[in-house]
Amino acid sequence: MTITDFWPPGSQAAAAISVNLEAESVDRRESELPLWGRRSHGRYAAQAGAFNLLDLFERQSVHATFFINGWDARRYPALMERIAAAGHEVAASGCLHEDFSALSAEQQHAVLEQSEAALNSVFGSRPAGFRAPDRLMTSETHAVLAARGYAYDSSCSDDDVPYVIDAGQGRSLLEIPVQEPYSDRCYYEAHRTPAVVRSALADLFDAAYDEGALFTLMISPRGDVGSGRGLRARVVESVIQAMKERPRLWLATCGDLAGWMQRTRGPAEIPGAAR
Amino acid sequence: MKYRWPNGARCVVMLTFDCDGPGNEIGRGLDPAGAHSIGRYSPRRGLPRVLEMADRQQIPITCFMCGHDAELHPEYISLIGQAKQEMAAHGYVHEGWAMPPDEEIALLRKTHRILSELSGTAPVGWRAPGGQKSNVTLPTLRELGYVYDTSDKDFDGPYPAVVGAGPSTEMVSLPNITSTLDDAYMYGTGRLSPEEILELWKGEFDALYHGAGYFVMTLHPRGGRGGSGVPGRLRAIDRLVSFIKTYPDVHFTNMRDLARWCLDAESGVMQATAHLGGRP
Repeated sequence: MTITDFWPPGSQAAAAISVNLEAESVDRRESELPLWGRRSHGRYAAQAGAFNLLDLFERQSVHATFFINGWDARRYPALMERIAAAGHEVAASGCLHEDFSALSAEQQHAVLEQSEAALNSVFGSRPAGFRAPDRLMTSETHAVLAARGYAYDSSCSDDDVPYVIDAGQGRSLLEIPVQEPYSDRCYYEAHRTPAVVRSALADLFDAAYDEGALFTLMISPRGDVGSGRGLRARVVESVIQAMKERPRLWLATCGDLAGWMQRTRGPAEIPGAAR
Repeated sequence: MKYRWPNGARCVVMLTFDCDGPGNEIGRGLDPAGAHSIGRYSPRRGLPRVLEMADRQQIPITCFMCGHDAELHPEYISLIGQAKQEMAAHGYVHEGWAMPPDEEIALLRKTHRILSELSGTAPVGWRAPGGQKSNVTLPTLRELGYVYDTSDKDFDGPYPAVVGAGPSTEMVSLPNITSTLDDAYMYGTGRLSPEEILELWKGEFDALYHGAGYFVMTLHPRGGRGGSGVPGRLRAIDRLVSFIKTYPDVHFTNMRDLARWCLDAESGVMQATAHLGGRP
């Protein structure tokens, strides 16, 4: 079921590389104790894993979108400098990787305010995009984001292309959908091997490309469920290389996709088969 | 047991799709947003993709629907009707939990009414959401005119359904065999790659083809961890269909037609209870 006439002229499909930083904030949320031993995977993400990913993005000359928790942004200034200097997009998540599905709209506003303050103090600008920690949110989250001036959310798994959300009160928001099987965590959290992950991501990308669907690669630099370590980073690099070999692929950041949608779509236009 | 199949086929093949929309999450008390929005992928992308594949491969399929999703997405029902595929019942909000008999009967009737009214055709088949059944389930469905139940994983082929006191002569059980042939388990828990799942299912088909000759897949055209809706996972199913077609004397069918075949005396299915061991 090929999607035609959706993407910019010359492109038959699009892909985005997204990184859920999920560093120390994740382990910190779960424990007040010092983050040693098994609780140190998140620290690996910020001290080593993310740098390994940044190295491979540089080698491959690609830009990614980093969804960053406020806690991690303040805690790891050297990493943040490197992300900004390389020209990657910075987008919001929570502060301490909060479960937004358990928060009221007011509480979500409060967490986002702290998150924006942290990102603003580190990067000097407010984020345009948001991905809920673990992509858990409520039906009110889109309205909260629109009210706070966000351009897009990237937490939902309900379509193959970006779409416009009516966020109420005359506001709209864009959704840049993702799919859990397009992530490393989906496989590594079940202790699957890098070879399996390579095969899964490459095949899923191929089919999305062939059918004109968006492929939002979703990776984490963590040492446990992510791709920060050497062998797993190689898998990511190999998948990105395969993506770059496709001649009619638009490889964009989530922010690029949102900006293009804003320029080309009216707020009422909601594409899709049956809605 | 060796079955006698339509057209003298050696093996019958049924691809069945549990088209759970957001009703599945709503039934479990989850807000169908973010990671829990995967049900909406089904009416928007997954089901149209499945129907296109079935049309291209020229095979009948069976689509199980929840009443809630049909109410929310009547267009979902029209898609199935336009494609001339079978629609069967799968609970109201995928209620895979025990409840008082009155409540269960009311939900079975409610879903039946919704699906019948929206599609113009009364469903004749049912699959238990999450495999949940009770003593009142099949008697109620039989009263509503259902002729098959496909909820169990207790045999390699069809047998008379046990409705109330004993084996029925009017309702057949079409087992959905095993969780290995269910994408929700193999992707959702097993986290297989499409390549792995295709190899697994090819092996399963070959063994069942040479066994009872009865092959049922339980698939979910949704997004997310356990669904087959996205292009790369639907492609694995498409390739499995092409693989199955390389075998001689294979009969692709929907469950309604197979149930009717089983209920016909010629098949012998409803008389053959001897193999059912401890069954009443």
